[in-house]
Amino acid sequence: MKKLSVLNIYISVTIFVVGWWFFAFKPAPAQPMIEKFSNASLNSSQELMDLAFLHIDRNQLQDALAGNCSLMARLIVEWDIDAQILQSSGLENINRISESDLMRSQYLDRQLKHAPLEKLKIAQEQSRGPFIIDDVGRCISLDRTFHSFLPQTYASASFLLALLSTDEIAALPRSMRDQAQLYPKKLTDQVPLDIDRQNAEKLFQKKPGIAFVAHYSHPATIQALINQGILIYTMKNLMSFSDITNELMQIGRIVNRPFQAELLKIFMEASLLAIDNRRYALTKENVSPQISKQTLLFLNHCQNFDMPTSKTLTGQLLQRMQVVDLSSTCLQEHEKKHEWTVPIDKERILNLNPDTLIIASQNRKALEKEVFNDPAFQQLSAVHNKRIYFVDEATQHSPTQYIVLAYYDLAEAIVHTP
Amino acid sequence: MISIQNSQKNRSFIRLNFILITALLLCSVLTLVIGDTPWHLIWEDIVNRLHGSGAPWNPLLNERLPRLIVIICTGASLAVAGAVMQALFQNPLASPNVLGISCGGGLLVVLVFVLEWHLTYPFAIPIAAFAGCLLTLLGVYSLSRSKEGVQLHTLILTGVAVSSLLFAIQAAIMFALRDRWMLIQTLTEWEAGSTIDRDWKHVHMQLPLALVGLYGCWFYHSEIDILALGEEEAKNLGVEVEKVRWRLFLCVALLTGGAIASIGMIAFFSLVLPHLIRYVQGPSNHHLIPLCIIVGSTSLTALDLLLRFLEIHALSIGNISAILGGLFFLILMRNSHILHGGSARWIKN
Repeated sequence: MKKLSVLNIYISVTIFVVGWWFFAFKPAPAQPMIEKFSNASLNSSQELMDLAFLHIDRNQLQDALAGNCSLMARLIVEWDIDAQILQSSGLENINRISESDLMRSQYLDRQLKHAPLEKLKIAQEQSRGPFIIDDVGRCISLDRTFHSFLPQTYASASFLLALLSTDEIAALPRSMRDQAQLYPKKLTDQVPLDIDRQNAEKLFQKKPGIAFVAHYSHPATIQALINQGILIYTMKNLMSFSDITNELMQIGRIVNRPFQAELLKIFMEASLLAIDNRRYALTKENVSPQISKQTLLFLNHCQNFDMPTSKTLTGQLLQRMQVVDLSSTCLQEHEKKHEWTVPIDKERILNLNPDTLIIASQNRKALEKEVFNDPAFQQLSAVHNKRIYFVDEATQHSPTQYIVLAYYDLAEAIVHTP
Repeated sequence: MISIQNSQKNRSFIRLNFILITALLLCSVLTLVIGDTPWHLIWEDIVNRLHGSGAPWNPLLNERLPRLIVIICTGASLAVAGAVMQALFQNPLASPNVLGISCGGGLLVVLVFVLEWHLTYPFAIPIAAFAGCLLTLLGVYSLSRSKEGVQLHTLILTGVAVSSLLFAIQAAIMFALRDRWMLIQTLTEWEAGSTIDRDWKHVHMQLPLALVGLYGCWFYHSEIDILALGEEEAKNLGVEVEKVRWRLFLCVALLTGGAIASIGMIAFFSLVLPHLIRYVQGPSNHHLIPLCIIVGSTSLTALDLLLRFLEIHALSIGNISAILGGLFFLILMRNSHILHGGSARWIKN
């Protein structure tokens, strides 16, 4: 080898490495399955003609969750009528929202629509109460009305966007603007300022009355807000559906929109019931009774795959659906108790071999390509059954009113018939 | 007398090799055997495959075997890279991590992830890792070089400074992108050094680089021995110092880059193992390099096996090796011989 010229050595080594990579990484021919599965999206709900009225429009649902009060009130009534029809047709386990909630939602909608503004304002102020206790036990007096708000957490920003007009919101968390699938750009652009530690002076100029911060927020940021005379409302992690609705009500009181917050809370509960009823009707009727017995595995994908435990919102939503969730059967007790997610490798996924596989990812296209070109996944029953679904990761992990959309996506994956 | 000593050394080398190869085989077999899928199903599928009717993915052939190859390559690569660096710089503290080479490779790989080039071009990761390692190594070497040659303390300090600078740039990128939490999670997982879901893609990323790098280091093992005596002495003994050093730099960059590309950051591994082996077997690279290959492969395979067997999800293989290596590094620093100028004791003894 020493006799070889220097150039020859370098050229040979380069050819060896580049040649290896060329043969190893040359693009594999696209598998026809990709085309088939790409068409199996989640919005097909025409399983049975006679149950077609149960269709829930995702866009409409999202519109209502974004704060459209009239739509909320209308859908609550429609879903209640649907539930009554299902009950009268002999289906069991169909649930309706309570009579009082139904009446309350209609009352609130009428108040919001027809009451004179001044009267409505006074009524809202009266129902706020004299003070509020935040999640770390700090008492905040509500003897004055705030006019501008600084939501530092995603959850508070999401609630405020639904409850308030955009000119009452001083700024938004920056990366919220990236989640255009939940918060349309047209809406977030109306609040031009980002919450950023560099923007302290600009934020001060907006004169927010109160800031919604997280218990893990940077202490220096919180101190800076306090120094600027801004009241602090500290939120803890929202770990369940009831945590979300309770926080919504609290924030509704602070921002002087208790009626809208209450209506949204009732709507969220009604939405879950409507989704449950639809899922129950479609799986129990003659449509696809086998679906209710099928096993399901939900995975998050980032660099690797992991399974959410029941500590996560997704885990709790799956529990509510009462599906045969494989992650709950294969996780150890200590993992269920202490972990949020547990890594899982392909071999374990193959051994669990779910009938339905739902994967949450931020980069759906890349993951779809990876999954459908991976021979390992071709062995899964879920692939053979054409029951592999990709859902939006941001929606699944959103501790906001949009958790309803996460539930909708999961339910659609379960009732979907390829 | 010398020949008796040599034959004793050879016998102990053969005995040590035998023990280590047995351990490596044992760990490899356990890595291939232990898993969620029952062995009879795997075997059945392999038999079916031989008859042309097996499943397209087999846990043994498509998951455990590539993982084992990647771990073996990484262990061998890092250990040999460390041994070569320590001999070249005549300093027991020289290693890809301490001189910032891993940081350079890591920084470019982070850029590839940020720009999402890896989704379209999988080989962008090993290229970035190799280029980052090589550029950093050359940077550190040229910055620490003066008229008198490369002073050891200057080299280490330059390495620390460059490493800090690169780390700061990487931290700045991560800070700027802190809102893209999925990307941050990806980078965190990658930086922690993970062996989950390594497949043939990772083998292809690393194996050609590791083969060239390991062969190169072995090819120059006599020159490395002579270079460890000092630049002047090496020149007097007929070694083309600049040429050999440059090629060894390339080999170290290939080895470190390949390891970073396939598994991620495995800190301190390349610092600790060459020390231990040199302590047991002596400084001759004729024995040291093969032993580094075997010990590196065995220890990383055993570590991975242990993590899997004990089902420790909270820690990655990179975390464990960094903790162990960090402790060892501290012990080394406490060693008065090193602190007071006896840095080349193990190399020259």
